[in-house]
Amino acid sequence: MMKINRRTFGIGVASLAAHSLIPNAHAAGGQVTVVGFGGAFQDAMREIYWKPFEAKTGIKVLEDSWNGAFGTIRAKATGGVGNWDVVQMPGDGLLLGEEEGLYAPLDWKALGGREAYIGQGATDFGVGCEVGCIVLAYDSSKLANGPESWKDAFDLAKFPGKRSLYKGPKYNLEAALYADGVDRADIYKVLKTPEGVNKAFAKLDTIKKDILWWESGALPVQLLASGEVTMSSAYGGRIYSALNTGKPFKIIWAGSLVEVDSWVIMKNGPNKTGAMELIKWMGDADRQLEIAKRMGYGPTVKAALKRIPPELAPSLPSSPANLAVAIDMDPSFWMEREAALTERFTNWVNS
Amino acid sequence: MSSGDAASGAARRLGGYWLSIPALLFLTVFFLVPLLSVLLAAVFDQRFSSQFEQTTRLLQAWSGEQLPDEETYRTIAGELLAARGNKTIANVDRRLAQEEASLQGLLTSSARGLANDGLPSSGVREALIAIDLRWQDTRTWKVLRRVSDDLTPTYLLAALDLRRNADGGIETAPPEQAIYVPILVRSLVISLVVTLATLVLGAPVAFVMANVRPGWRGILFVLVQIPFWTSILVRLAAWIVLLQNQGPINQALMTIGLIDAPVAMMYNRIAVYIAMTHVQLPLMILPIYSVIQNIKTNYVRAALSLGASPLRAFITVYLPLAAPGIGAGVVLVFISSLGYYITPAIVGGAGDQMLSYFVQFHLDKLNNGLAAALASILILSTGLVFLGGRIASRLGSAARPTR
Repeated sequence: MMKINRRTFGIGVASLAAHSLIPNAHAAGGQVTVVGFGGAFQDAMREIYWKPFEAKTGIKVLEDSWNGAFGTIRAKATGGVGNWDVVQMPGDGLLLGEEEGLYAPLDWKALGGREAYIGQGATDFGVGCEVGCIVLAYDSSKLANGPESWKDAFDLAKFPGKRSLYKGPKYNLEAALYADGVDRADIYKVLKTPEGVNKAFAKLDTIKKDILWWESGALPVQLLASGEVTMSSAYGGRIYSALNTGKPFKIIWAGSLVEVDSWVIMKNGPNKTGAMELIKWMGDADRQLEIAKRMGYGPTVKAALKRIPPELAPSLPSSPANLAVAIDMDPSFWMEREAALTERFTNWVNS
Repeated sequence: MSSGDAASGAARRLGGYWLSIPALLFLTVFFLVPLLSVLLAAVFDQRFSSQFEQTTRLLQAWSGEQLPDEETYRTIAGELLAARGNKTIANVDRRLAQEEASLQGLLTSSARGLANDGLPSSGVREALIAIDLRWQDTRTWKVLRRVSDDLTPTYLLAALDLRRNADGGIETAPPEQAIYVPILVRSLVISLVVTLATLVLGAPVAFVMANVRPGWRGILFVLVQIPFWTSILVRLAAWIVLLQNQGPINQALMTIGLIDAPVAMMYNRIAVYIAMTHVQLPLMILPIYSVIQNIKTNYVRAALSLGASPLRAFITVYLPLAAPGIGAGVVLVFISSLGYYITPAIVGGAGDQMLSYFVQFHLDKLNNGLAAALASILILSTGLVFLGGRIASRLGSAARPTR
């Protein structure tokens, strides 16, 4: 039974008409709403996870997307029964929502036990979705000798022109310190001190005038393709799927930022059983491998990790060679400090 | 005329008013109520008092001279644990940090400490101070007392780059945090430039439309309205293609040798002006056209026949008659420009975002108070512009010679 609130009222009225014409269309399993970050990744998940799930179980999969701003989750979690069931959540959001009691507990036994997943993908309220990354990328048809790390992103003499970075403190403060010569293992230790944060902002200040800020994950690909910027930070999966369409992009793995996203079930979600079933479905090794091939993101179930084709390994952030030069993102750092750092970042960008 | 006729005439007029009730209801429910709730959210925040009811009562009675008594410490400790239990503490903590940044995390960390150590049977004050030294500062308590008021000026002050210091006095925010007044000024400047650009470009178009043959007029009408019919995202995508470094405009300018390197016209103020002017142009053309198409050419001809120069006839006869249309266009374009969000967000850079962007930004962060305060400032500025427009048109019509 669909609960009608202000937000779903319009949809409710529309579907009311449809339902009265086709009685019990989805009586078999009801529906479950899954929420990703949109874009290429969501397209891939729709094809590889959700459509087959719908066909197999009769549970209708409704989709929504969000932009990672945690306020959205808080707003969705307040009030009575919400309309989101399963949400793709970065590590810091997982911890925040856990602290604020926004997620429903998981039945790990039904998922085959925690040991089936990698460590960061097996937590009290989160099931690993993918091992994702933020990388520096450039168009090799426009730059013959491209940048080799974040250091070059901050080198205006060697690489003049605009560069594009994410509009927020996340990823950029780490990249700035990496470029400033801080060892990749010490980045969060340094960022936890006020001097470290000042140092990162000072480094960003050196290229502030030449930065185009992106907010939507699709923009870096467009900016690189049109030659508007010489290089850009970007979600690895966006670049990887652009490579699949023949774009001559190059990914720089040195200093790439590795982040594990999890699936969470909203505490006030309308269909918890359906949510668990869907999460279990998405933990299947074969399907996770399909996603890895399509998006260049690492699987979270160990069974899939064992079977990664050798030609795919160099493209995954989770492969040992890439991990050896990457920055492992610290979700607890961002959980504690994102609000304060975002405020400082916003003031800095606008002054 | 008999009195019966008059009565039935009045009844008929009232009958007409009944028809407007649906519209009035609609306006009340979907416009007035949300508007008032936005204004209210800018000054009303119950997050603290609803979770810390007992503490609020004690704080409101507290003198503020020295640290509160043991009972107050015991009460807040109990309510901290309760708020931790029902997971509302993070929300209250955010409220506190919005009031005074230096108190960030005080409640969450203290509640965690109390939960670990257990609530002592006596000496709660010492226990809390042992967890966090901020508890032995009277200023912390003064801020808490302020936060316990449901009615707060904090958000409106923040939207004006002002804040209250720990002692309650109002001070200006440090320069690196004072961003909202410059952003308001920026929004006004962008709106003004767009208004002038649409006036300069639109008035001649309106004049031509009013003076060509009906067939041509129909074609011009369609051309003017095409921007209205196109989805805003399609229009913006088109501008991105045209204006980017490798776009046709830059390519053409470089081919004919006017420039050597691409001129940056995208993701900056130029792009915002161009795209917004394009969108707003019909709002300027249509009101001007609707007024000047009714201006009889006889008036101007009469002025000319009485010996006025064409310029003088234009300024003293034509322009005053066209003024209501120009005024309406200017006010319409300026006001609707002031609230622009999506166009600068897509084609502008970081330094070209308008006030609405920050309303959305703070809503995303669930900082509803500041978002509401910024929205209120926007509403107020719009109201002032509208009022200014009305006064100017009054003065204009008063200054015009009357027969």
